[in-house]
Amino acid sequence: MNILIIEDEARIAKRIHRMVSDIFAHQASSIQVCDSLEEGQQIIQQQKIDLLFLDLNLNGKDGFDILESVVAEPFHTIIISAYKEKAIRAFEYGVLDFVPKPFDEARLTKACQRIQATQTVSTHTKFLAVKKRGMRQLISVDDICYIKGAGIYSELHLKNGKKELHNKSLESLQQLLPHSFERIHKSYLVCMQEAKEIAVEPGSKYSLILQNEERLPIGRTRYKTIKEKWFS
Amino acid sequence: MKTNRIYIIPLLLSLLLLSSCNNHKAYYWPNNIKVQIGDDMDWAAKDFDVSQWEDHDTLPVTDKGVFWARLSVQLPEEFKDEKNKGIMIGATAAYEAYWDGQYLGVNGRLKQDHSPEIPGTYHRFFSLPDSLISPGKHILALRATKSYKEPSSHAYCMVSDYQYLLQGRLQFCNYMFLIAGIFLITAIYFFFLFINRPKEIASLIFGVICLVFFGLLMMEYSKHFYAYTYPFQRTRLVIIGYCHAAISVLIPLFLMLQFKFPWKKGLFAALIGVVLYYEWSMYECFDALAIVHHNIVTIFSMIIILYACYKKQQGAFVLLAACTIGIIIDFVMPHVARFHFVSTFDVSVFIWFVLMLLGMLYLLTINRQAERQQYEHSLVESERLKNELLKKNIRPHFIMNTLTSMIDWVEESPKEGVKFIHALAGEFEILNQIADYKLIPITQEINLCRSHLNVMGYRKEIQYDWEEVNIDPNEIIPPAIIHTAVENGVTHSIPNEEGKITFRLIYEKAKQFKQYTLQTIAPKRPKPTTNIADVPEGTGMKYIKSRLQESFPNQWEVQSHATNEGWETIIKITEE
Repeated sequence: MNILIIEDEARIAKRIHRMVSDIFAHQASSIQVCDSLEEGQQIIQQQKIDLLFLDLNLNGKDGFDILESVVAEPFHTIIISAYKEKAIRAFEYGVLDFVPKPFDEARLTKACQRIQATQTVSTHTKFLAVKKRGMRQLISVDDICYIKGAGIYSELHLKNGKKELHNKSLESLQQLLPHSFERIHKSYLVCMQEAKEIAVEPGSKYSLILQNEERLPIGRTRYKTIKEKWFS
Repeated sequence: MKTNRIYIIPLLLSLLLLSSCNNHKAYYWPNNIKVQIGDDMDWAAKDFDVSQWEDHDTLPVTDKGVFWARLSVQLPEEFKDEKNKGIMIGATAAYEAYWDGQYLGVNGRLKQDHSPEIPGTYHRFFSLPDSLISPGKHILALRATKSYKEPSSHAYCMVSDYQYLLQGRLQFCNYMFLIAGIFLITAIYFFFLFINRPKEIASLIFGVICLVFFGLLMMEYSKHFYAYTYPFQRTRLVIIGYCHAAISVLIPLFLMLQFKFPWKKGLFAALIGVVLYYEWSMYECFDALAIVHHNIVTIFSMIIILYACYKKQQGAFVLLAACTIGIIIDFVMPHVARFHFVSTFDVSVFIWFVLMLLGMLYLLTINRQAERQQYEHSLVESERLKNELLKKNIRPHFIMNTLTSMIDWVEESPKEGVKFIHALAGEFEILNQIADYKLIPITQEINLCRSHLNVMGYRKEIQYDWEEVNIDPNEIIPPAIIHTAVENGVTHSIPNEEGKITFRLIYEKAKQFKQYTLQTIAPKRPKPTTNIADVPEGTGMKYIKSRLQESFPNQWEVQSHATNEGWETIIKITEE
């Protein structure tokens, strides 16, 4: 696992580095520290990063521009910030966790554990940032009908019929999206408010019929849970 | 309540108006006086032929003893079968008065060979015999001496109901005294204001204008309530003339100051020039000069008011309205209103003054209001700055990062951690000491900067060096402004190869200014290549500017720019 820490306070950066290497022990193949976003972005472009620790106030600049640019990337982001009141807004952008300063190892461990979760861990996400022809676009979670996994990417199918490509995997997105999103298939994550009914197809296959009459496959193993949870 | 009060004003005014209304008319004859030096009792006769006599409109001064003056009076048809008529004579002499040859009485005592003249009063009233007031021509003859120089005051007479002649003019004075009283009180009020706040020259000027206006009203109407002897007439006219001249200068001066007229000196010089020119060229032409002064003050005031209207200044349109209404009244009044005891000019000019003074009072009020607001704003601003200073070190970015680093130091090397805590305590202590002051000694400011760098050294693990050049320990400076510049330096610089950032504070003093230069000697952080918006003007810079403005209003400059060595912030304070 490649970990990047962007923090302009040398002492704190060292602290995060020390704790993170304790937490991930052998899992962490590299931990890099830099003190400015410019440097951080270079590393992000050149290397594959799996987890980012980001300070929201870097060298006197407001961190939300920075945040918008990193949440569009494939990796998860954990914010470490002195501004506790910015937590809600940060969560809306789809970060894995928000660790307020000052912090101890226990708190940082809790944040790091979220990365291994298979379920939703952050329920406050309101936007997903997608990169489109070099520009970033914020897509409201409310506009998403379902998400289809496409290898290391995901395809966001919007209620207006449009499709957008997101750099995060379906698993990563599932961790960030609210509980109304259900994994009905290994390749499908659906906003269940859009679901109409379950149809049984020939060959004991199951499909989820959406409000727009679109049919999505339901995984055999998941059928029972979904039916109990959403249609009983 | 408010509507009630508004009711009262017109009610009072109409009562006053009613009190002066009555049915009597007064008939007035000025000028065309026939004058003959010499003495002959036959000259009192109604039918005496005066075709050879000299024509005059004033009574000539003479040291040749007695002279006679005859005024021809044409009584109208209304006088048929009337009774109780009287005559008011306005003349500057000691005289015996004859009406159609009939002796009416004496005013003062005529000069005789061995006894000097006793001057008569300027106005004198006589009852006319009922038998001698038939409609048609009558002759008022005065047997007079005039030993005192009293130029330019024409002789005249007025015939009406005797009682009305005595009382009517006093009733007329009611209004003028009412106004005079108001302006006396206003003058005193503004003098008190000026004594309490001597910087407010406008209060003094307005007070003087009100006082001069009070004096003018009292002098102008003194002729109706004060039976002075004729030589005082000259003194009275001189005083009135000076009052008019003073008002002509003071009203435009006041308007120039209040409206912040840009060409004050030029216009004021022109005004003084014009006033002095007419004072010289129209010497002793009292009435005509008063009219000239009135025209001067109107024209100059209008220039300034129109400028203020053009600039859309507050209150300018109120004054424009006051001045315009005043001018219209000046023009219209002679055609619509006639007054028995004064000229229409005397009334219209005072209406103009009253309107202008009310407008000026309004102007003063709104300007004071604006000053008050500015003052209150400055109080709020001072509190805000104090707040900002105190907040500096409890802002999450500072305190939380410091605490996080501190925890780390304590956990990893407790001894250093304790030093760090002491450093932070030091910075807090200084901040606490300076928070209540608008200006602090530069040495204290330097101590604050050093203790801040000490704290930041622990956080950033960078060696911050501090250097001073030419610091004068007696100088004072607004609190935490260099500290703020140091904070910016810490944020925007990266350490050199040796892991060092040096701050150098240089003080320079010249005749007109003092200057602090804070140099940050370190490579500057590279500008972001991304489109991340830099805050246009940091809160830090705003704080520095607000603090300077608070203590040195409009006498400071702040520059901040990159240099070869790093970064430089220059704070320049110019001397008054």
